[in-house]
Amino acid sequence: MSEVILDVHGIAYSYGAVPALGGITFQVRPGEMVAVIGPNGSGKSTLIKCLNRALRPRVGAVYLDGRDLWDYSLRETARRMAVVPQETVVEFDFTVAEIVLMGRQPHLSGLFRREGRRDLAAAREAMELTSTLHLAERLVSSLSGGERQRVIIARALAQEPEVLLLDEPTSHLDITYQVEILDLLTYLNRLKNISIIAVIHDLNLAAQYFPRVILLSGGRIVDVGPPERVITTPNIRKAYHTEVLLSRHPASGRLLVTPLPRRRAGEASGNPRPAVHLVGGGGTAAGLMEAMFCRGWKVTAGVLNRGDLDWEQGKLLGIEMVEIPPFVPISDEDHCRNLALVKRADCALLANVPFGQGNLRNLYALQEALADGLPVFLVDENPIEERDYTGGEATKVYKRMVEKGACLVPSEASAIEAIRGRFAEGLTFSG
Amino acid sequence: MAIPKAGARTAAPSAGPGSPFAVLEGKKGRARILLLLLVLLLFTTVAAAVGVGAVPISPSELLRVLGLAPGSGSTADPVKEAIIFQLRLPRVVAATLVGASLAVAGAAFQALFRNPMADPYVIGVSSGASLGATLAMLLALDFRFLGIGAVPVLAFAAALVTVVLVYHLAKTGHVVSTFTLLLAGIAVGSFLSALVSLVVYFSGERLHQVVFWLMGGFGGANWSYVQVAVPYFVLGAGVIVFHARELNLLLLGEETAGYLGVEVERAKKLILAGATLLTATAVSTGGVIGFVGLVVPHAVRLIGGPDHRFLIPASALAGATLMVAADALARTVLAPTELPVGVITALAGGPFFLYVLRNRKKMRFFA
Repeated sequence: MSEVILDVHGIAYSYGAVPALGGITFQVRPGEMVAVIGPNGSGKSTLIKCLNRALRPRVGAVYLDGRDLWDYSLRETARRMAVVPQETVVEFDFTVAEIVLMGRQPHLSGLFRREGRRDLAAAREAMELTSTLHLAERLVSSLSGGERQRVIIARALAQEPEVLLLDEPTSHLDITYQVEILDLLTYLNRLKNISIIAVIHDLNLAAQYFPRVILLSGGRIVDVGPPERVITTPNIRKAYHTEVLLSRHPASGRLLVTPLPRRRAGEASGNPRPAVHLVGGGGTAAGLMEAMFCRGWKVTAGVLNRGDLDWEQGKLLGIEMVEIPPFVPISDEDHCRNLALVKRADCALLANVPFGQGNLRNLYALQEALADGLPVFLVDENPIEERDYTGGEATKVYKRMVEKGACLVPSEASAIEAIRGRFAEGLTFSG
Repeated sequence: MAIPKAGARTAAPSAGPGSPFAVLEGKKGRARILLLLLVLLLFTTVAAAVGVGAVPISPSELLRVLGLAPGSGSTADPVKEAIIFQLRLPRVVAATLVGASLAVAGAAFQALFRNPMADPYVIGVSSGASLGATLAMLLALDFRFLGIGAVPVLAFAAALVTVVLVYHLAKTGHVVSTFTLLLAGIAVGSFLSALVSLVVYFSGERLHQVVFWLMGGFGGANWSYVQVAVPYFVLGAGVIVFHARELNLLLLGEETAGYLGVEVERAKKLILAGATLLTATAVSTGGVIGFVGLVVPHAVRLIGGPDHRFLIPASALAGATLMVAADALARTVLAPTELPVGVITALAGGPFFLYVLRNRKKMRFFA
């Protein structure tokens, strides 16, 4: 077996004159688990159909274990690659055992093509692995959706494939069965080293179960890689034209995707959507960032160290930031970039952040912006003296800013309210 | 395998392979018994059908004439021998072939189209054959081909031409969608039926002959019909029996069948050709006999399940039995007047099918 089991090489497909897929290239190694994600009509199903020979690509080629897929006979293909289609309708009364045994079809030979011991053993193992052995005598038409999907996976396993292709295996199942099916796939992937390529609708499930995802949009690959790298705010915006809130599960650290409701046109005029430049660090700004982002405000962030909690949040949300390496003080150049970002904003907001020599220039930047006439809001949950590790310099600047008209707010929530209030009245701050 | 059900369910993985398939083994055994019963039923019906009529013939006489009983040949009555060999037996054998052909073709079409309403005439075979037959009668064509009259020859030819036409209408590239095939068949069928009505309208004094043919019957059957029909039957039924597994897989959908290694387009073409050949043979031999091709596969499926390895032979036997019995009734009920056999199949088949449908839970032989 070569290092690459499935080599997709520049394939394109169109339905009549309507292009559905173009220039798709990627490789799958033996034992890999890959999710194909993307909006409706992005070509996910077409891609799967080009891989399982239901459609023949107009351009490019698919190599299965180094050989052109279309050079195999259908029987040979079916012995190496199994497919779980989007929805299986069994209109006639076959039992589960009969359906699973049908998976042996590509292995049967001879004039009468009778199933031998080897075939029965393979079908039995497939039923054991999918916990469908106890259903053997039941009619497939009498099963629940989740059970039926397990039976179809058992049939695919009975083919003893090296590659398993699934087209939205969980899309019409409830959450319990979705998890059950994906757990099963992970288990089979590890136990049998089967390469799995699945179209997955749910971004959270894709991120949770698949080490590698392919994001499609308009028939082209937007990005391929681990979910943390592919499922990003800019990528999702590009592919789905939808805003999502990305966060990490606090305990597991897994990626969580929350779609944000689209703002209706009527709301836009009533609700202000100011551009806010946020200065934080050490996680003090993460909550504010999310809150403002969800309101559809344009958020930028002041100088943040890479790896900082606020920096991570900013990355997840796809926010424009001035970023510097960890444990490095702010250089002149970074300071200038920060000032440039502040000047583009409608107002600036300082989180309840402690100051040391490393980030003191963030405060100077705000002071300068205030002097230029930009409204500045200061979250003052703890007195500045408690947060000052610069020997009084930060406190001095902070107090001067308050005197010059910076607005003190007692909490994050009141900061949001204050900014909203300011811009809803349509007032612009002057001197 | 005397493993109790519960034991089979919780069997340890170390148990030998095949235990979840014990039920399937049992099913196979029952299928064999059922097929054997159907064979016996067919022979009994054939014997009874040969026996009934203006000159009754007892089963023992029949066996003696056929040379299957002690003292055969010498004691046979030559008149009865002539009745058996020249009149009744060719007719019964023709009915057997037609019944089996229609039932097998019906089962194949139902699976191919995944449509329980499909019957052998679904893609226009019957209208094509009817047009050929009615034209032959209207034009009073009089030729013989392999000992067969102009009407069945033209019916057969027109049936095949119709299906080839429908097939090419439905074809796009190398692919024939069964859905398009069904629609094209209905459209072409309606068109040809209108032409048949037109021919009937102008058939004048031949009206009775035309209408009688359209309702189906075996009045004109003789050995030459049987001789010509047998090779077509063997060929058509053989192709379908050989594709029993593919028919099972096609029930799961063409795409799925392809994923399991079936060359779908090739299988479809062969099954279509086989079923068409069977139907054309049946129509040219016995006219347009309705209901058998629709009802028999369903009744057999309700009793024995959908596996075509069983369904095809069982349908052939049941269809043959039903047709032989229907023909026997058709010529005896109002003797000496003969009823069209299509009327009998519909009158008997309809209520029987409804009975099976209503009692399918009780009648289920399998699972």
